[in-house]
Amino acid sequence: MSAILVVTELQNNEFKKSSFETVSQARRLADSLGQTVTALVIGSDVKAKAASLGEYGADQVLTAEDTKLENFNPDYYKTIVIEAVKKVSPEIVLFIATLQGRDLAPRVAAALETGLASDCTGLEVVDGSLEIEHPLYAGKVFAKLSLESPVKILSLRPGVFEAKMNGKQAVVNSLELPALESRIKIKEINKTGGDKLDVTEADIIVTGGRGVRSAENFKIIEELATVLNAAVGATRAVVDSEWRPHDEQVGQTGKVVSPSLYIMCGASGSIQHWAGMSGSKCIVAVNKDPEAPIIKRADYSIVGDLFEVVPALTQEIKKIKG
Amino acid sequence: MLNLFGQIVLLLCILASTGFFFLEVRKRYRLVKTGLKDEKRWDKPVKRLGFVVARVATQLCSIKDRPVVGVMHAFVFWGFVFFTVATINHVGGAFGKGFSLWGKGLFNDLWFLGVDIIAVFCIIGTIYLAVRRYFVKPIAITKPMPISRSPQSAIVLSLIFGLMLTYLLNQGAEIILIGESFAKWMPFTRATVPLMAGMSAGSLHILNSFFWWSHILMVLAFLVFIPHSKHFHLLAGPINIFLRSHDPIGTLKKVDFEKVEEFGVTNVNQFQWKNIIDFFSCVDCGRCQDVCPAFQSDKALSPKVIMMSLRKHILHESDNLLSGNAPAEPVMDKWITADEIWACTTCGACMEACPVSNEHIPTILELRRAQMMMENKFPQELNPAFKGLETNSNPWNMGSSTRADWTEGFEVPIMAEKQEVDYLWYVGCAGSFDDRGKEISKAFAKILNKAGVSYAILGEEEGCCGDPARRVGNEYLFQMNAEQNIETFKQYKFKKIVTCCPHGYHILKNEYNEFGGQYEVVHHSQLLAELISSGKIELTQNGNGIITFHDSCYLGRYNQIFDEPRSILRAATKQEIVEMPRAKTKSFCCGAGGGRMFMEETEGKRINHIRVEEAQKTGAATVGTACPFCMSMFDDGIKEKGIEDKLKVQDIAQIIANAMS
Amino acid sequence: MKIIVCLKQVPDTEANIKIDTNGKSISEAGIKFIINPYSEYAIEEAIRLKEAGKAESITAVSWGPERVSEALKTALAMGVDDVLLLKTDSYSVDSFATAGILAAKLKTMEYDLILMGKETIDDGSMQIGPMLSELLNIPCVTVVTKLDVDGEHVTVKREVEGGSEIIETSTPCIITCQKGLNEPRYPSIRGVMMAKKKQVTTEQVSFEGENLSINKLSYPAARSEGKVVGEGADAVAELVRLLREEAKVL
Repeated sequence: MSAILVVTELQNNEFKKSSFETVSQARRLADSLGQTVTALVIGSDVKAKAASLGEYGADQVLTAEDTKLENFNPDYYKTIVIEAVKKVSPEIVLFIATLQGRDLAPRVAAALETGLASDCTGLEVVDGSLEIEHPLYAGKVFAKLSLESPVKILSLRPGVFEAKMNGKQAVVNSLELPALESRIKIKEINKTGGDKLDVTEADIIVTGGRGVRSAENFKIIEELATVLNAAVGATRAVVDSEWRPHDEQVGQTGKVVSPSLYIMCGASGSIQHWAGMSGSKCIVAVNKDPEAPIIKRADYSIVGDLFEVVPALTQEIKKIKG
Repeated sequence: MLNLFGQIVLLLCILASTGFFFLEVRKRYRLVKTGLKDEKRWDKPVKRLGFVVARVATQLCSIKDRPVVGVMHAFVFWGFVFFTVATINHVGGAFGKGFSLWGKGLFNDLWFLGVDIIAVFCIIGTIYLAVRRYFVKPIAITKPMPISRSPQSAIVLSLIFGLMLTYLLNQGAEIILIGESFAKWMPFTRATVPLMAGMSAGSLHILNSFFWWSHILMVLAFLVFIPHSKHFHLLAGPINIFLRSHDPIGTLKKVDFEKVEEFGVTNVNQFQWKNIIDFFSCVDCGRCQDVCPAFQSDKALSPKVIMMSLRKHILHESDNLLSGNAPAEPVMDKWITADEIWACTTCGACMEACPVSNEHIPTILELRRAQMMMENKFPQELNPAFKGLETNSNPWNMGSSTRADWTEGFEVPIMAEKQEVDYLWYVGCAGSFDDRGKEISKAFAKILNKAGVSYAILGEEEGCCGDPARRVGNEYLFQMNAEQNIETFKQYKFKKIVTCCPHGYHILKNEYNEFGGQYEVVHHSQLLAELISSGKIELTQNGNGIITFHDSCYLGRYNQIFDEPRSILRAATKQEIVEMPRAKTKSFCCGAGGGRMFMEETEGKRINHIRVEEAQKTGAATVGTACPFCMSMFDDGIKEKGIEDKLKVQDIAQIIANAMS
Repeated sequence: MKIIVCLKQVPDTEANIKIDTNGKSISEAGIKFIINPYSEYAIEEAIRLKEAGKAESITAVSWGPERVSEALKTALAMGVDDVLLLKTDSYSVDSFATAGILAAKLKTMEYDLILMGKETIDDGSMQIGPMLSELLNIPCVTVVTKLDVDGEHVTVKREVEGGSEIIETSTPCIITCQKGLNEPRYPSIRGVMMAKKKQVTTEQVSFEGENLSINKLSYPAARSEGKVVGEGADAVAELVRLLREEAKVL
């Protein structure tokens, strides 16, 4: 019986939610293709939690443990995955399309001289073969792809697929470690939190406009940004009023940004601002004026007093983030 | 009459002084000749001469913006004119007793009366100007430091004052020595007589000689001094006025990318010859600076400083230039700074105000061109605008396929479907993409539909007119935009182009012709005025309250359209417009021109705030605008000042649309 | 030090993407092409290294149809020294095939540092850099926001989930560039004029062993018009739900 290999990921030595999602998908595919699911867990201390992947559908969990593997090193990790592939001889290898997975999967694919479908947002078995959905042109078009190699490698977009418990028991085996060599050295790992996030690098931005009314009031914007691990952005008017520093200015004459989520509080969304953030994947507006142009243009908006809405939003997000 | 020795000394002095004068003038003439060619300066010579007379002889050049100072300057000017002739008499007197160009008789008497009066007015003028300069110290002539702190004015004012005084005293002494017959009608000269009363004949003779020599030596010193100083404007000013451009203010010349490899002005030897006369004509009066939105909002730019710095620079490089060598230093950084040239809004107020017809904007823009295209040094916030103009033909980089999205829910015909119309409506970028601009477009579409005008827009085929690129010196990008539009226009038949944006209006009308695009272009204010006067649209009273109107620079000063927007506002509101103190040719820029819309404004005050305050002071509830960029600057300013409940801004098309039944 | 920049030409971010009648590719009519924004960071970084005296030459390599020479000319105008177009009739959605043609050429070239974008905005595959690392057998660090080169020592800051890492490696190596690394310059007009006159070296190549292919393209469900979730603080819970479940951004 051929196998599906899932390369799972950890964060702070806990499984990422997307690991469960991907194992669940592997299960679903395995069931329709009549295959088994092997999940690979790489880390420094993973054995204890490895079995939990069974609940999401893994038949077998392979663990690769070593102090060298505590943090992601593409060279080490690639060697491990290749080793696992040798051992399991999978027909399908699933990665998660995180920064880590998207760094690792192509290396494995190239080493195995096979194609890779990355960042898949849909996955079906049609007539016994895989039909893969992958967004092109920033989601303006979706492609249905087919992958014709002996070993099919895919990475699945996190947050898209359902993580489904099905109460299986997985066998946990240790992978015999090959020699680990690397040409790169991790000098330092910085967790975000201490340093201020730059708007151009942030994946989420919370921007305050003139409606925030004072530098002190920006505290509520900062609080929301903190719980979202977001950067604080500002409109030109805000920067001109010296409520916020210039490096936070988003817009035509400020920084041009394209985060996944852009939350605008008390900003009307003038074209000069829009030109700097229209590339954002999802735009949320909080504005008291139901006629403000931004209400029409934002993907989601709340009409209301930002001094009520923003703190409520902060609380709500705290709740879901636990 | 002098003795032979005196005559020889005098002749030598005259020779030396005129010699120095001509050498200096010749140097400047040769420097001007090193300038690049510029052909459009000699056409319509009679019209040009007429303008010089109308401006210089009447002294309107100086009076029009500063009546009191101007009149005082006129006194000095006329003093100068009279005394140029009087000096001939003065010198003639050294060789023949009682010499006069006019011989004896009534005319001669009248002449002396004239000189007598003029001398006193001239003294009044110099005293007034000295008091103003050294006690009142207006910013126009004392700032910015240090360029306006030269002793030149002190020297000139003292010389003129001295000339007049020595003339009166010399003539006064003559009256005593020669007797009453000398001065028939010289009331002021006569007034000096008591000062010298009771002196011995010998002392009087000595005193008389002293005044006589002082006077002529001062004249000769003045002659030597003139070309070295800003007072060279005596000569260069009228010439410069004669040579002034007949194009609208700030119209730029094409860069021929096929022929030249150096764009704009990096070195001072790349200016055109007329620009160099500008530098020599500037007299540091500061009229430009008084009206310059950049200077008035505490930015680095003062137009007069640009002129004076370039004069200093070109004189500093004169040896190199005259021997055909390249200048030792480029213009930028040492002589003129980046902050200065990028602060310009190209509003044209400086050129409008300049009494000697200096053309500051083309000079500044040539410097921008070189910075932009040769050095690649420009405010980095322009980057997204350039990218947008390049890929999506609009400075905000909105998808070009969404250009006509504003028409959704409106009946707006597209040129590709119509093929032939009366009016091709060039909507422009602001009217197509900016929410506030789109409101103008919708209002105008509503009016056109109602009035049954035959029109169409280009829709997705339209591109940016290229104004933002051209005004910041990116001529290459401008030409890309322009050529694309001209190609598009070629495909269709239309009688006129109508546009709501003065920037598009100006550039399509006045600057596309160098690229083969000749169109009859009207601004929407003109078409609206026509539709109202022909009764095609009916207006009923609306609730705009008191209204004031802000003249867009590119519509007003650039293209002299002042009356149409006002007439339609009157028609719409059925009442008079309250004018701001600075209106029509004197209108104060909103701050968006010259590509400033797409640059940061970090230095000093915000220009739009200054203008919003001015509008608010009129007590008007609405500012009418006729330019989408002015409108957005006003809108921002009003919001930033938090006075939305007191003042709102609307385009004339919106006001008309509201007033339509 | 010799730098090679791999860049890709892509449709403008604002382009209106329309599916061609074959249903498998997009129609190029009316589309403006630009240099992939992430590739621009790579070009800029290379030019900065050269300006800092750390690199002697920069060669930009791209692949695709003839129109790509425009993108390479822009790179020339920005300041790269040489350009090379590996001409293909079309693009392949299979990045391994693309990495193959690049690797084959790069193996014949001299380089110390290969810079490229972390991903391209057209297919968003994010694969070429790490694949080349395998094919050329040199290290690769992805998603880099800061790059220091000192002789053969390379120190980079790379983005990771929940933070960043400082990584050391040595030349030759591949760096894939992320937003934040630098602000790409606007090409000087003088550069544009010079680039216009330069010939783009072109070599015809073809994709081999493609495993991944497009069956069909389709449009996503129309992005709904702005949705007013509600009024005031009461709407917050619903907003968060939509962000998590519909937009999937939380």
